Amino acid sequence: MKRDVWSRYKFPLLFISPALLGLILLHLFPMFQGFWLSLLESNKSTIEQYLHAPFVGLANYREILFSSDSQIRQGLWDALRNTVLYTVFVVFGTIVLGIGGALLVHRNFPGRSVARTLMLFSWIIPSYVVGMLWGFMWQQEEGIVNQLLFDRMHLDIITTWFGVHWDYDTLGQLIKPRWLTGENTLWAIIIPTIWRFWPFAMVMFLAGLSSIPSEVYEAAEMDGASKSEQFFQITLPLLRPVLAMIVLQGIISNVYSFNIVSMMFGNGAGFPGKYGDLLMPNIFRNSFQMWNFGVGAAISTLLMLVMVGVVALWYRRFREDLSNE
Amino acid sequence: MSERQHLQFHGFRKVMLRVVLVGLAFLLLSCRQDAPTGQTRITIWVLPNFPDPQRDMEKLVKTFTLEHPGIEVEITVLDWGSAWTKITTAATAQNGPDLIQLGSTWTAAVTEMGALVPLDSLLLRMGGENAFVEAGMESARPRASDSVTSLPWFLDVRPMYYRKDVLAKMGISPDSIQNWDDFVRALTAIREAKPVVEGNLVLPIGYPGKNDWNVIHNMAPWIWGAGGDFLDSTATHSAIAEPASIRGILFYLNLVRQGFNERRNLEKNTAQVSSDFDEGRLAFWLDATTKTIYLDRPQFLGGTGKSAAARNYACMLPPTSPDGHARYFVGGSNLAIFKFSKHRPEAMLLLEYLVGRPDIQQQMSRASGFLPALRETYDMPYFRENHDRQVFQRMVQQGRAYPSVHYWGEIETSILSRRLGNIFDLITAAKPGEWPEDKVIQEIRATDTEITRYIAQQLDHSPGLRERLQSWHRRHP
Repeated sequence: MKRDVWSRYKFPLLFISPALLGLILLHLFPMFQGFWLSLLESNKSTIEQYLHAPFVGLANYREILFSSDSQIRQGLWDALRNTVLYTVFVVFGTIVLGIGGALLVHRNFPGRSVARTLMLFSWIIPSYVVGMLWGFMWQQEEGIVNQLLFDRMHLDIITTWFGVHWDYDTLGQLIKPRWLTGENTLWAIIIPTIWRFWPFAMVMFLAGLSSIPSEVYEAAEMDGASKSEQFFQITLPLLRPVLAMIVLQGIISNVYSFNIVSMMFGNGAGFPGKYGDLLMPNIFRNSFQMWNFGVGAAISTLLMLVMVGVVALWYRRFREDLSNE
Repeated sequence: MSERQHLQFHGFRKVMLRVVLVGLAFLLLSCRQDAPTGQTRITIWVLPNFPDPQRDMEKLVKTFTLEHPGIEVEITVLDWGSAWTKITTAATAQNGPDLIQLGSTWTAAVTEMGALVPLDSLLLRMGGENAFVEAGMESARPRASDSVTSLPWFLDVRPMYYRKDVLAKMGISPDSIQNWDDFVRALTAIREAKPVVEGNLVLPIGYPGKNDWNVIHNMAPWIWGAGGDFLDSTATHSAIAEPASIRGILFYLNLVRQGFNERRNLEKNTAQVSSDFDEGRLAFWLDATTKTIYLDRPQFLGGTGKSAAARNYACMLPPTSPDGHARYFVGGSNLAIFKFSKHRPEAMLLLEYLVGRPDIQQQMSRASGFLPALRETYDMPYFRENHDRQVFQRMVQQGRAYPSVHYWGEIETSILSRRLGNIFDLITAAKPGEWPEDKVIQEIRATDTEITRYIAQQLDHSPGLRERLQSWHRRHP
């Protein structure tokens, strides 16, 4: 029987073997190597020994979790808080804009194809370019964001009607918001990320919308369901499998986000500040840039374990939506 | 499946299998491209030193390949952002080029990894340490090393660019700006007069605040000028919170407080503030000597052409502190040979050609704007007969480099850039009229603690390092 299976499938197996080999070499092998590295005292002095550096057991994990002197803990909790907020806001914003955009271009109207193509524009820009571009756009005086909001739209005057207070200098000039320093920095990285990724969500939702039979809506209309009832009772539930994938993809890519922050703040030359730092740039700076590979591998392993937990929660929440039954 | 179909299928499988095997064979063969028979190919990794990094570097080694027909030089230009990772990976994996360009602050770290060939005999043949500028040799022989492991290729100093027309309009002679007090007087005059030249309001000075490697290089001369330093003379403790260092930092920051440099510049990078100077909006600007290449070039070659700044700029020495201290930052790059190189004699020849020949050093300087490390080059008319290049030469002679210890790179890129970034954040976040001096000093003290703690960890991790550094200190009191 086994011989039969082998002789029957050996050709397909031969073709999938490179992919399997690639998976082992590029995913599993480095993962185990990373874990092993986290148990070693791997730093500048021992890097030549690589995987034969002195074994220190769980010392690197103890350093991260309990040593207040550890370099890796410089700003780690700030980065963790920012990463959680960043991920939540980006995933939420991406989904809202994605569904909105998909509903808009799902309808028939002249120039729909052009509109769909144009809406994909921000997605095709590499994330490091997005980081650099928005770094310029957020500048207080010369950035296009403040120029649009305050020099053109006079947002300060409009919002004053609603009781918002603005500061003016001694010459009576408005002091525009600073996006690249202080608490606003978090928004300075969230907004470009949503801008970059929402077309992806839109494409996914559009595919989901196309697969919903129109008869379902016709039946709902005959039953007297309003448009909002159709959206919440039909569209949204039927889009849950797509939603599940976007949530998962959003969580993973945003927790591991690096490019936008790194490029916006000087391609590694700068520091994003207390409110702009994320886990990945923090780990990169405090471990790998500091040649603390063992500790860096340990914190990466810890993060991976947390993410396994997050993915397990996600699966529990969306399991039914992903099954075929 | 009929027998005929079965045979056809088997035939198809055989053909496919052959196609795959032949493809793999081609792939494997194409991975290695040998030099023509009888020729030795040496590889060199360089950084983007020139306006056209690949072609200008090829021009630089052209004479070498003509003089050594048996040697072929393969040039790879690395990007600054990824170069450090690629170089250290090559050093640890023992697989990479024969010859390597190292930023002057990288040499000690790569030396500590035991990856570089000692070059003492080559240095001796080239006339010893005196053949090169002193500040360049600091990084060539790292403090913890007994040997010279790289040779200085070119130097990088930061002169003060100024607008001759603006100073003339203010009635200020450039020669009158000698020390910090003179400098503040000149800046005050410009701030008060608000000169408008060719439609542009000219502001006194500009410098960037964060998101830039240059932030620390820009601050160094003011700290050193005040008599302070980043590390103590043994390079085992931070000195950044010493009163003199704090005085230097505060003087530099006060240029913002007094309204000479606008706060909004602090969220810009060097390229952006530099373009403000190019476009005629700044009277003073500190930058690398490479800027002269762009200012002197026509627009169609990527320069600034005939802009107001290009027509009216000149360079001067940055002012000294009131008590006459003048130590300028000297950076640059060195060339080294990896121990795993299979073509050491040929790599040595190329190294000697690039660093040891005044004609080639001058050619490099003309093309890149960087300065020669070889002293003899400064005797050439190109340097002797030009005012700005005379200024550069004086800076090189009076300049100093960061301590050549293997942990400096992390202190600079990770601790100082973050902490100084915090300082600039404190300033930009302060309300107009407020100046967060106490918080700035607090941040400097935190930087001091972090650096000293980091060095202590490094000394603990590297047995014998403390003794080697003390030994260096005894030899260089």
